[in-house]
Amino acid sequence: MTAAAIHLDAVSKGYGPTRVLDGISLAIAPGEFTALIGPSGCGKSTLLRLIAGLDRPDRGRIRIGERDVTTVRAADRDVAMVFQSYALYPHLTARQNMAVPLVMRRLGRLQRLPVVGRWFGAGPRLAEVAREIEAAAASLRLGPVLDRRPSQMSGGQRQRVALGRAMVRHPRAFLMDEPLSNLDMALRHHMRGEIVDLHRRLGTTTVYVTHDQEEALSMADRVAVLMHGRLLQVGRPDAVYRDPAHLDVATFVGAPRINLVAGSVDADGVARRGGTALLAGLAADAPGPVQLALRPEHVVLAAESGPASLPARVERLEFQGAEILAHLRVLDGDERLTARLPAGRPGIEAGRDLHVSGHDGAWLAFGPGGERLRPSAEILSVGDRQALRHG
Amino acid sequence: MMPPSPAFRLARLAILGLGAAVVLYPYLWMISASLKPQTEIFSASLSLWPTQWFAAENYGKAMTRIPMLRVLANGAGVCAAILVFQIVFALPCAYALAKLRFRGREVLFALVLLGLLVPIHAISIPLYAAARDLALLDTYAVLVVPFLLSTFAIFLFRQFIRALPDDLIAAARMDGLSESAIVWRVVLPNAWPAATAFAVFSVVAHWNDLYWPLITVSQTRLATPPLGLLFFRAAEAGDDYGALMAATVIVTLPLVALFLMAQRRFIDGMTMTGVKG
Repeated sequence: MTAAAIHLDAVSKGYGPTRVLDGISLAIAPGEFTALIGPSGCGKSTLLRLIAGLDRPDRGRIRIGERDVTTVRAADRDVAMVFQSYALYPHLTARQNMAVPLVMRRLGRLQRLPVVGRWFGAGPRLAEVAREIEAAAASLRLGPVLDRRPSQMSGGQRQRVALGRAMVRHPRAFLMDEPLSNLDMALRHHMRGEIVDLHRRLGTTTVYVTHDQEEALSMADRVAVLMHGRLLQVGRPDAVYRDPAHLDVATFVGAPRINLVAGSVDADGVARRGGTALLAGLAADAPGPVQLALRPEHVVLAAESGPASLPARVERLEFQGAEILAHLRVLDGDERLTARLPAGRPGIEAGRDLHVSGHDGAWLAFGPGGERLRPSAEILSVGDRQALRHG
Repeated sequence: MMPPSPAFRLARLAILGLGAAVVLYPYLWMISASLKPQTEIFSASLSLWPTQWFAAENYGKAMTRIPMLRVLANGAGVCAAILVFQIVFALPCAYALAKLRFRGREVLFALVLLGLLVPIHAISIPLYAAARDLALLDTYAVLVVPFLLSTFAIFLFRQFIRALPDDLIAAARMDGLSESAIVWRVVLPNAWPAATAFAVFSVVAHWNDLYWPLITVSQTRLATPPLGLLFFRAAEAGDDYGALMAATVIVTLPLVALFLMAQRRFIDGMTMTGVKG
């Protein structure tokens, strides 16, 4: 089977009065690895179940490949799913678990009967199924556990059997619902690599649901951020990280969390905190309050005050090996900021008052509704402008 | 946790022992009487151990006065048929009530619970009339048909299936299993503990049932074990207690054996079902 594109067209789903998904449209290219992320309860698992065919949308259409599958049942969509709980059949061995989707698809009703199935020509097909399972097991290094039941396997082994069960039948798409969240940290990192490798090898369209933004950023070709039942942003991981379209995206993606300070846009299109201009070139037609955001790694700390700096006190340092996190508090407010700095930088210690500014162009502005306010392209950041003026 | 003190353990043992003695004493007495001649059963001195062994005579009578093997086979056949059909009918119902979302599900389940409250005796007259109209009286069918659908089984399985993870059902659907295939290939193999527990209840109830066979069957060749005992007592004019007790032992033994086997499987089933990851 070849990898298929997945198209969602204005898909909505509610349970009773609660609207879980509200008009989701998303196009996933064949072979693409797309991560659906969002906080728990944002509807990402519901969306995956809709694609799988385990639930029906209230409105909207779903296409897999060229086919409209909106009303097609799960078994006929030719997609495979990996569940958070793995959902292996507890009474079957790893080998039998992986055989189920193949047997159900390739053997007729009579051939599936135990024992007498052979009379109806099940033999050759079962041999073929056995060969394919061996091949899949070899690629997932499952050999030693093939004849164990799930209760006799470790979490990582169950996870791999679940992957094997999904991949043996060469589906048109993989759907993965938080497949790594039941594993411990070390194994999770390892399995990330395995899943990415698997995707590269098979080239199957993959939709991967996770609440772990780091997992999504590190694995996916494209990330779709889902919140309150709406898609806030879809894009490459670096674009979502660097250029968030919404305040919720900015705060959800990235750890430690992005720094926020309250400010306002004035009639000249400059966003200021107190008297300090942080970002210029915003649309001047709607002056009012804004949230100004700065990634921890873009924070510049200096002993001297600069043209676009905010005074802040270092409250606590957090050693992290190659770098340290400095936790600061803005002096004229009570916003807390985090700065990510190379370890061993002199002059930074708890209790000191320093001046915080951002790298050029690093400040992001968000309007009162959380929408991103972008500076018009030709206007440079405040620092650049001042540099020009002085120069 | 502290290990229990010896005094506590002794007291616990004494209480359990007393309970066991109270429950087991009638059985011991039954076995004892089945080994004694009539005169010794009615002698003034009470002794569990027979002074004169009369086992061969008593058991010989019990096996020959009525077709005892046939009675036992009847009991086994009727119980097996009832159990198989009960599971065949109850499991899909229980699955639907536990895992499918449909309008009126709660009402249906309430009706099942209501059904649990109706004893067979309350509906036996209409059942009897129906059996008579269908010319089923004095057949094996009449012993089985009224019990094909067990609301208790539906209730028990429904509770058990609810505990199966939804993801397991979803995975089966993705794998291409139809709803009925899910019931037989996924739910049933994982519902063994519930099925075994239910089998114990069902077989004990129907093996021991006297009421329904008594009113619908009048021939010895169709008799189930308790009815067979009744026929035996009638044949013996009801005064040969040694033989009667021997017949009772014979009728009780398969049930005890079955229970011990089921108990083993029950525990196996419990430990082997690694449903949760």
